[in-house]
Amino acid sequence: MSTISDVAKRAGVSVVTVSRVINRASHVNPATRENVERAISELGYVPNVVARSLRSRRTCTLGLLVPDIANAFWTTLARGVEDSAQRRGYSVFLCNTDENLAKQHAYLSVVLSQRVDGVIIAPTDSDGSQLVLLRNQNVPCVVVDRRVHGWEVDTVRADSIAGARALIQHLIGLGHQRIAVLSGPLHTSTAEERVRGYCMALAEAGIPLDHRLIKHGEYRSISGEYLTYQLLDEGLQPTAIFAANNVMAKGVMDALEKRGLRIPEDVALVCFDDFADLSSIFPFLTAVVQPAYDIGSNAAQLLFSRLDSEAAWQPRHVVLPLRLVIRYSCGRQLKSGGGRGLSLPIPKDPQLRSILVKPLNPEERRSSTACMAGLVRSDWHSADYDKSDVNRLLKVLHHQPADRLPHLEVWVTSRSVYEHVLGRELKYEFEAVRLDSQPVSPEDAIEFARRLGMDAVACNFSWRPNNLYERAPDGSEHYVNGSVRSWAGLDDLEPPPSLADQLNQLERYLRAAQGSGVGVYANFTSFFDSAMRAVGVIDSLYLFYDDRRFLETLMDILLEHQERVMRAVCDRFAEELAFVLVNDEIAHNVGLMIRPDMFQEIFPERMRRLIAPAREYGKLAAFHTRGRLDKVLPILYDIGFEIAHPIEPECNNIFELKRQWAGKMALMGGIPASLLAYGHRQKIQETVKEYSMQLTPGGGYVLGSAAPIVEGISPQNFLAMIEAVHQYGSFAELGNAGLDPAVEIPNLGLT
Amino acid sequence: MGIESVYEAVLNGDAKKASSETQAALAANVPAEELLHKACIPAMTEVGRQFEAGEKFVPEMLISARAMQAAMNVLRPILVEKDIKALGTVVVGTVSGDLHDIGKNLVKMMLEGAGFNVIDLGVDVSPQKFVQTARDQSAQIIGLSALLTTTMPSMKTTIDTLKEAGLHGKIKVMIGGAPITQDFANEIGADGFAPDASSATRKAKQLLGAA
Repeated sequence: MSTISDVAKRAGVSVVTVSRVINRASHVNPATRENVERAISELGYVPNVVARSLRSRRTCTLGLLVPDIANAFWTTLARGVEDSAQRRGYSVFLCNTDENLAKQHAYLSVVLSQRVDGVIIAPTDSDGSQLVLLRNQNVPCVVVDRRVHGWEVDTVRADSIAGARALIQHLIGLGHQRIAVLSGPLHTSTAEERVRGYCMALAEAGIPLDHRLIKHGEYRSISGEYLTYQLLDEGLQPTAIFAANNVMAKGVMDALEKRGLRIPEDVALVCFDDFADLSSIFPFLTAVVQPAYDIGSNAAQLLFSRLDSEAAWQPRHVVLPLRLVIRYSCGRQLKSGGGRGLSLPIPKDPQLRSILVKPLNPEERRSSTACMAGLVRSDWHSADYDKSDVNRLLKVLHHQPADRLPHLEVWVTSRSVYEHVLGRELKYEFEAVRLDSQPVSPEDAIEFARRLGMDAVACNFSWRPNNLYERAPDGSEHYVNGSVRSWAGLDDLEPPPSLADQLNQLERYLRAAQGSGVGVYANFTSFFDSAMRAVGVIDSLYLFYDDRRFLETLMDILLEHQERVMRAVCDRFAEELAFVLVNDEIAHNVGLMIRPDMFQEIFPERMRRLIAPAREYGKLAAFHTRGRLDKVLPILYDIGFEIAHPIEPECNNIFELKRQWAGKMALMGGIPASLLAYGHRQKIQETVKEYSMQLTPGGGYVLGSAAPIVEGISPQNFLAMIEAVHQYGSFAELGNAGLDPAVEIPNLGLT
Repeated sequence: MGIESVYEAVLNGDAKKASSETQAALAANVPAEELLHKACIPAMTEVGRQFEAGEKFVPEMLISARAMQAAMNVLRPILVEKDIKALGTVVVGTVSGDLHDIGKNLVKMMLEGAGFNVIDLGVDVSPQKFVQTARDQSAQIIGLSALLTTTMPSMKTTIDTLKEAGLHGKIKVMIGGAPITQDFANEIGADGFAPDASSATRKAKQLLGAA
């Protein structure tokens, strides 16, 4: 095998010169380069990449992380990166993040472990702290297509605001007033900027903003389709739809076709990005076309300029112009009286235009911010207090004020609420959902929380053996009775789930939550109501008198298992958990379920055993029980609980309880489920405002529904509650931040 | 022996004693209707009072209701023979779409303990079935139960169905269940709301003007 010395000898140059040619260094005489390359070719010399990288400490590889290479925009951008990289002798690792933070995090770990020399990334989130891995390892990075907050880094993008504004101005020029925008994920800067451009154009034309016409989903076809159905089903009657990217536009087309609506006769359609190949044959979509290839090649150039220099340069922000390409889908043809049917080949239309859209100047950019001021859904999610923050939750649970009122829902079982928030159809089986179950995957649960700014999610550790369920007409399953009938039945209880599986599930939650700000808490079923349910609730109530020993033996069997689970969870995960929740039912709407003296004999000592591991690790313990709590809270506090859930408003005065328990017992929940099911938006928001004003000061209150979010509570009402939390529960509204560090609060370091 | 013993046995939830003392009282020529009206029903009324005062809890209420049933098993054939009428007839059930019957069952036991004739239609009961049964059985009251927030509208539908049948006002409707409030009862035009089984009994008596 030839060596580099053989090449040098054949070319009549030094080994250093051969190395310079191989590494594509500058300042090599073209004639010498040609001579060396000929020698390499004749000798069939292959450089030893591993040895070279050991010497140079370079691997000549780049990581490229994009959302979805199936989308032509990203394919083209990747080609721009790869062509530039290849010219420098670099190879590219290509990773699809699917706009999923956990996946992005995993791929960043992979490319960094491969010692790539630099990374080009379209981040899933505009929060720069999500790229902490890159920052910590000091790996050169260029962010493409999007902006990040909180990290000064090189960026290359097109001006989304200017592009969106140009599209909407064009639609307005055609006479449209009711224009809907279907944008991407809430936390991506492009999604936010495209809505911003939309608002700017409307404001400039004096068209009032209707926030219902602004929808956020994912940059996927299915999301565009789903959001279009939402628009139509809500009776919003848009005359035009602006899809924030091309594949969402494809979803819009599918949805409109299925509903028998024509484009552009019934609804006009415009979008960001093109289907380049398709458009050359069938130039239908009016679109703003981003210079995807140029974004990729510019990003690679910026990266190489950093790699080539030892200097710590200031970040560069490259903003490229776009082109507005006016075709048929916007309805321009109709407007100009040319409403003929389309057939291939499309006749050449001299009026088809491609117009340069320049980036906004600083003054216009400032003005675009002002246009967002009246917009609820798109401006609240951009501030920090709108994001999930488990440390905010912990502060409040420790009776400290925080930047805003935390929000938490222990149980959400509504498919429509999940799909609305996630902006896509879910493939899960929701038909047999039980009220205290978790119907979606840990990853979706975390994503759901992140999109809402909800501060923590539950990982369930349930063992409720021998419960009999029946299916309601709506498909949900409900507990109706227990099946343990005798002492012999105690030896034959339905077994608990595998502890290993449960711990793996918690691991999955924690992994998915990494870097999201969303906390995870462990939610354990208990022994009191689990025993009653296993026997049958009414039968068990008799047993308190007829055979208490039997009932207590059953409680002990349940307790001993759940104790082991609690121990295993705390030993392994205590540091990472926000708190632990014990899910039991010991009260009903007039108070304790059984006589207090009997309850004292049965309950507190056993419960102390159950939560002992959590207490050992200094974890806050929360207790869930429905019913009236005024006489229950002292017992729970004495046992060691510091959080109570859900404070049913039908039988509790939460304001009075908060006053009595300030600084001792934090309260979670309290919002009437009937209000969410049947109330109007304004009433919901007024209620949340009242709760925020009265309960936020001093910490110790976490807002949430007092009952599970079930099918039947509309997504719109649910979101009205969330919006109000962000609006009225914020520091800006209440002016009570000033954190007093008198109490040392464990910081989970997850944000 | 006699009325006081039966009263005590029911109040203390001692079913065996309630049965044996009732038999003994009958043997001592205490009239069945006196045992019903001066021992059993007052004992259950006292149980309800103590429950609402926080002195008794659901298990005690249940075992008293069971003791009352034990006494009634002895008394019923005689009362039927003498044509002693119940306080009234109440049709109870959990509304359409809802399968939860624990609260409804507690209410049923307490109503029976108070001397009502109770027809229990079970769970997931349609508005038509409530109205039809109440009409057929000449009931004075329909008692609707719901645990789920999302099934609350079935209560209004049942009241509307009653109105359509021209029975509104003639047959009273009382409602209860975890998500139910007095406000909701007012909103849908229910005649009464009760937060628990004992209050439900008191409310039923009030609706009949028997309280």
